[in-house]
Amino acid sequence: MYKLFYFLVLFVWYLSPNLGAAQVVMQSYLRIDHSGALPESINFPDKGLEYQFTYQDHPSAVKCSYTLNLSSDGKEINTFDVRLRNLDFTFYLEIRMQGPETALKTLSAIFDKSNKWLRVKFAAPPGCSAEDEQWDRVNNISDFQELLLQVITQLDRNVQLTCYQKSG
Amino acid sequence: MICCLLFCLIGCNTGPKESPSAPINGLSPYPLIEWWELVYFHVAKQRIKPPVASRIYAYLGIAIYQSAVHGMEGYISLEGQVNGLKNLPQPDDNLEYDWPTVIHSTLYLVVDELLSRSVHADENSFLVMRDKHLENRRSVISTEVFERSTNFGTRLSESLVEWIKEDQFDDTRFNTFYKLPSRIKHPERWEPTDINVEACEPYWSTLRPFVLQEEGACHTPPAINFSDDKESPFAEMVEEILEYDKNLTEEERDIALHWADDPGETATPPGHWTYIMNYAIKQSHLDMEQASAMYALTGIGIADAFIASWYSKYRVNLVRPKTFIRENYSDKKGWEPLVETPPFPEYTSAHAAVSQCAADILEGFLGADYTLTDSTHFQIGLDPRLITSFDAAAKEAGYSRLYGGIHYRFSIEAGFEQGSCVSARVLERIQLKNDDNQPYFGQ
Repeated sequence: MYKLFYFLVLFVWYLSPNLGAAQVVMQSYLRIDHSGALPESINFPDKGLEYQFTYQDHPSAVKCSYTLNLSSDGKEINTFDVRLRNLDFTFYLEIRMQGPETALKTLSAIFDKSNKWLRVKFAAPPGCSAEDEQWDRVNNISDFQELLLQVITQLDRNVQLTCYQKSG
Repeated sequence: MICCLLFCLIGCNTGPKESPSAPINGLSPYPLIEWWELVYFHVAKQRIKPPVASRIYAYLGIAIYQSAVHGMEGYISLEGQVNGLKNLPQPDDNLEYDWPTVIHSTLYLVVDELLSRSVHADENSFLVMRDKHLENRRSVISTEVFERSTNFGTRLSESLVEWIKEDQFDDTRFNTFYKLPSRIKHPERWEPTDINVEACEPYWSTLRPFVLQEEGACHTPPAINFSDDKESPFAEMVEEILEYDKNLTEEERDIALHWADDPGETATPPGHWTYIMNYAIKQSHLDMEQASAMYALTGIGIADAFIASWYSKYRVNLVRPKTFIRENYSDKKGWEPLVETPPFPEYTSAHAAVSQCAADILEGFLGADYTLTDSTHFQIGLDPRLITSFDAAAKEAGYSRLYGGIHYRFSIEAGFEQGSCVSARVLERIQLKNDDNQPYFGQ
């Protein structure tokens, strides 16, 4: 019994460094839809912001495309094309942002699979960025849902989404 | 009549001796391209760092050239022209060799040596590649010629490996300890921008260069001095980075990502340029002889540009924009550039130096207005980019670092100058043909 306990302790000790090393981006996640919400949106403080990533296509082994639908309080803001590239060490998520009166510009989210940090960058058109714009690096991303949530959180914090709101 | 016959006989005897071996001109370069592609694959997969990759590509180019040169009419060996390269085995002029067989036999051992530290011990793709090509050759030549050629290739590769091992690369593997100079009262000094990251190849400039002669060759001090004064020329350079960061266009963003050439996902910046070289070889239908000449010279230039830039990097030891911006802008304490800041000092931009050097050399072979579509990163999902000239591509590669937020403009421009200085030295020192003219293949 003592020996069994001893081996169990050794086994857990051996596994412990790998316990937090689950893969954040899995191929199987890149063929299904994902959705979530920011209840405390900066753009829509009272109503929140909902997002829906809808799977479209897998044009190559590393590339896939989605659409991103943003809405608030059930009312659609806009739908954007999203391109993903799932490489060996890096995962790229690019949202092609275009509003009724703004030219196309792409938001880049870069996720380092080894170190599990996420960086989001976007040069918003004039008048469309938040006053205290700050695109942070987020460390210790633990799962794919968190990764998507962080992308939308940074988008909401740094971009005036009214620039992209569909009229009517 | 008798006089004419005598004259002819004497003339025939004193003329250049006909080689019993067939020259390689006119042969397809595709077997060589396959070797390059295999090496790219391993460089990317094993996350080999850019300077180390440049060394691999340079030796690969030289190994191809030296194993082919006896079958290249009018071309001369690099012995005595490249630092330390001498006393290579010579073929017997009276015997027949099959040069492609020599090439594949040589490349196997050289590539195995170059990648032995990076790949698994049971990696057999080099062997498979060699055997595939040797089998093809065996079916078209006699057993005697085949064996003579493989033996010559093996002897040549052993000599090349001996020479390769003397370049101090091994010393830089064992001597990895590097104490970062303290930044206390020295905000101009570089430090890695991420935790748990070591300085990349701090002793790279101690490697034996290929043609550069003196330590610090092609180094020039920064044109702009560091200053944390908000009105200084240095501050203007930083402001320019922030300006691009805020207003980056789609085109500039595409350029930044196209030339990011991250280790792990790509064959790194020197790999990008050798990819471009291979696209040009295919597009211009160059043969094995022309490709071999281009591989050698371009590989040498790129590797020496790395050595020159690395000398500047660790001598000047200039802080990266990410560190400076975070320390000097109260509203940008968490600022991140679009492109990941690599773990080595800022000045000069190695990508600019390497790109300019490669562009200058490729221009010498193919002309100033050469256009091609660069599909290097198609496999990792990036769209191809049109290159309107090698020089334009070099400039785009250099300025991509400004758009990406990891280099100041003056370091990029110093990189261009450094690259041109290296290419001039390479072209001045190395003579490929015995008629004094470097080959020009045109478009």
